[in-house]
Amino acid sequence: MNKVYIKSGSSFEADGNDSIVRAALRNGVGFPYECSSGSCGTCKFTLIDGQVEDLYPGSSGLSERDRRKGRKLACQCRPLTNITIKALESEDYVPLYKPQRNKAKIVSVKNITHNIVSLTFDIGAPAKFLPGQYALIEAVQLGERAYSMSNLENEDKLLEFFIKKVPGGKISELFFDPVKLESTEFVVDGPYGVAYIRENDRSRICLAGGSGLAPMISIARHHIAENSNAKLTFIFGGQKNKDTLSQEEFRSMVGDEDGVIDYISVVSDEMPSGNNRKGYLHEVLIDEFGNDLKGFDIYCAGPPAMINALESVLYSISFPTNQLYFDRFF
Amino acid sequence: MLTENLVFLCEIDEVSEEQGYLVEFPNRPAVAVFKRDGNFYIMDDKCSHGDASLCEGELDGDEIECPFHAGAFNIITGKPTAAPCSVPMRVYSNRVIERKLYMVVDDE
Repeated sequence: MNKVYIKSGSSFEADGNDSIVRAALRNGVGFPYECSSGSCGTCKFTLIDGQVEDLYPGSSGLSERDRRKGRKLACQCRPLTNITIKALESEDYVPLYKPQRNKAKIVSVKNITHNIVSLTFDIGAPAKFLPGQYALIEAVQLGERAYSMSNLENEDKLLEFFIKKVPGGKISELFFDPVKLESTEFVVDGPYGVAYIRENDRSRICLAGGSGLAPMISIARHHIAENSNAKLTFIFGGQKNKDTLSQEEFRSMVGDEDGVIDYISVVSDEMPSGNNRKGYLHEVLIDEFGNDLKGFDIYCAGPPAMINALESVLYSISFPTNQLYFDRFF
Repeated sequence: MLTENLVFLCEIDEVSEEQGYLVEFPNRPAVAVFKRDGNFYIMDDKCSHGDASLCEGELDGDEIECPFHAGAFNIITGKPTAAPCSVPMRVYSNRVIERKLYMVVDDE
């Protein structure tokens, strides 16, 4: 165990395998972070004393100036000795549930769309997390990826994830290969993420693109389960019609028998069929809500291009950044 | 001749090259005024990534670094130059008239 001292802040112990971010969160320390994959740049720190192992020195989360100033990413660095660092702790990142590593086994696999499967893992411990959070699934000896949970916290020790087939993706292809799946050991580390649901009086909008569906489904399931008076509009976008869900499929998935949630599905790359609309998620959002948007909380998950387009359009209408929740994945 | 909509910001002597100068308004978002090599550059003060004041950030050459997560923007173009910032900042042209600094706005 090495100890991490944040200058003028908290100190905590780090297990040899843990990055600074993970060690901080396991100890309940509010270390700024978002993606856990070395890309978003939220967890920058400066090493004042001691030594770290940098697992991803070329990461895109650091600019040339960051490197010149000796900054590193806390999600990609492990302490090799006791270390002292400069970083800006914040209450916003203090975890409600401290992340834990658990061995996990797959208990069910279901098709969601033509290229997304639902996988349920038994993690052998109560599944504690907030709707919208993610976990890091490690396929032992193969690697680790971040996936969001689509179910709700439970005592049954179950975490459900939606996994999109990425052609050539080492980890994602594994989940579509029953033989390999059988022989792979998994460790699930979580929960992580700050794009979780906030309880307040504002109505909610969920925007999901592709496999960003999972965390938004979790939020929708929570919305139904809490019997909220607030309104929820759920917009799900794909490139093709076959990427989307029908209203019946959506309602059955989240348990919305009474049609409490307004569901809109959108396709960007071909003529829409059924109830689908044509366009991009951010365009449909503006068409649908226009200037009323500022009264809503917006949750979103999807590919970087979708998130960037959304952030840009929301900035252009001065949408409050503290009512927008997303985790960037790369 | 088209007239420009000018909004008064400050006396030019109030702005230093060391850090941003904050100007707040009752009816529009606050702006940050930066000075470099005698030229003035104006952008919205609130970071496009989160709830932070860029005036409280560190000026480094043409870049202003946000005090929250050390993301950065080019003060001339408003373009993001370091993660986690990804959305360009709104920037404004300016005019100096009798040692007073104004920004050009396209509303009102």
